Amino acid sequence: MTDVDVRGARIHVRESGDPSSEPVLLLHGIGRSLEDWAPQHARLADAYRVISVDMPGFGFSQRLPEPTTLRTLAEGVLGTLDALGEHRPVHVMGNSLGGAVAMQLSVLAPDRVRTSTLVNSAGFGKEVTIALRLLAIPGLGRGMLGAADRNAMRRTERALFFDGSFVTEERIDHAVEVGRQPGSAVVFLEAARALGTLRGVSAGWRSALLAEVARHPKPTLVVWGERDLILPAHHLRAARAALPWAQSHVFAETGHMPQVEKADEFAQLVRVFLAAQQVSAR
Amino acid sequence: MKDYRFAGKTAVLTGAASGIGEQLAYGLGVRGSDLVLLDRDADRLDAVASTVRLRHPGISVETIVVDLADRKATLAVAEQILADHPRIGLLVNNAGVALGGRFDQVTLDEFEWVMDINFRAPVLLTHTLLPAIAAGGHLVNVSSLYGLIGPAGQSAYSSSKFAIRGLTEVLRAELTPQGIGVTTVHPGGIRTRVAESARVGSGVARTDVEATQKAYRALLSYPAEKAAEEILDGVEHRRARVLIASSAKIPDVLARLLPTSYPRVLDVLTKAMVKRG
Repeated sequence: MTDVDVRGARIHVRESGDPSSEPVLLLHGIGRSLEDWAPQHARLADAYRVISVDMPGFGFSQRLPEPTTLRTLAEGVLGTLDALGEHRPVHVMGNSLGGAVAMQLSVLAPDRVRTSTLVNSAGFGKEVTIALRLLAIPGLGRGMLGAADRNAMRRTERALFFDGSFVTEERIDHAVEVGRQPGSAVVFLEAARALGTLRGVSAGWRSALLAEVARHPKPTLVVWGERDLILPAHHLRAARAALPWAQSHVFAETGHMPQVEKADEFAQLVRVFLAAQQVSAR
Repeated sequence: MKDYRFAGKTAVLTGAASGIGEQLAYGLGVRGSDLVLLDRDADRLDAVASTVRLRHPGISVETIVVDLADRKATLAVAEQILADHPRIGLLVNNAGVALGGRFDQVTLDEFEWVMDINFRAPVLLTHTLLPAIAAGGHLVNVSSLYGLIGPAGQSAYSSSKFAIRGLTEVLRAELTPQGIGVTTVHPGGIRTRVAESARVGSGVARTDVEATQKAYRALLSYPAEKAAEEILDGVEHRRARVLIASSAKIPDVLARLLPTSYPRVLDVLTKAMVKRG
């Protein structure tokens, strides 16, 4: 683990692999941390420079002064790449909110993104778990996050996986520790309210972002866990309609984080996808 | 019964090279099913399979070229599929052919050709593959609007589609207690190649053929992609029956309300549609 400085904020980063290998950038979801990508470091680092980031205000990273939005998160991620001296176009992979940040990144800096892998990504539909929609209610969200105890953390983790055996004490310990970081609830709420209301994920930013993404098409792989309780798997069909050039895959008996729950299959799939891009680029 | 889950399951689909079958192949690929695709048209089938593989590198797509009118070949293919895939999640008997002409204008060989492909082949495939379909699996048989009503000029087609409907309703009664879902599909006028690839009875006058084909082009207007999505939605939710397009839904109601006089009403409606189309 390393910390880098982005405009005065301490940003927490994990790196593995040969720094001269092609870069892969891994982005986590709302209220989450780079731990959600841990299994892929082990599986991709032999062939890639693998970088996972606690996005500004999440995990063990400090926030940026601006309110947390897709744009500021993408800018923070770009700043992190700059601080790491990584200026080549990256293979970006984003889970949930991280998928929307990945798309934002490809719009903000098209020359910095080589391919996109969107994993149970936000941006393709309105439906989202009630737990996130409730955060949009003034007054309620702060109270909900403030009251998040170990049991609440356990319930959250349980909702992320199809297979309950992934909800280990170690994972809950980590979630509790991340939740204790100063200001984490504020950033969580800012992000939740920037993206949605009580009724679901707002259509405005989604259609604007997808229209922009379509103007800078990158090789794209969209994957989903069929049993996702956070963002339903049928959003994948909307993703295919919005990004018709994208390849896609559905993981059976898998929840919100295929990169953890189906780590081997996920790694194999993205390795094939990334290798194919290399051939076609020549 | 719980919803059908497509991802990671093997789906066997006949008539996959064009029309509703082609769109079903694409829709199943999006949902993460491994595919065994059957058709008699090798070139078109390869094109469909290549498209699915390109879009979905994580699933397996197998193609089998077979003429379902050939009893021996169909049985051999079914046995091979069973040997290769001890577990099948979904079987879709979609392949079908049509035949134009009054009963007295078609030969017995022509009549039997329709029955063999539209009815006997699903019987052979379902009977052979059923042992591989466990609880949680699903069976789809594509009947037709003409499995609900029997208009003039559709003797063989209607016979085959009433037969497959009867079989499917029986299988639903037999298989539901075993936890296997069964859906009968009744498409109305869907834009597919069924009219183009239809045979015309040997006794039908050339001028009548052209008039009939023109009428069909006007009636076959519903997009195949939408039809496929409705079928897959019906599978997911274990629906007994999927009626596609108003051209199936209206006759379905009429045939039940007016079991003896519906042909006259439908005749008037159809003429109006052809005129408009």
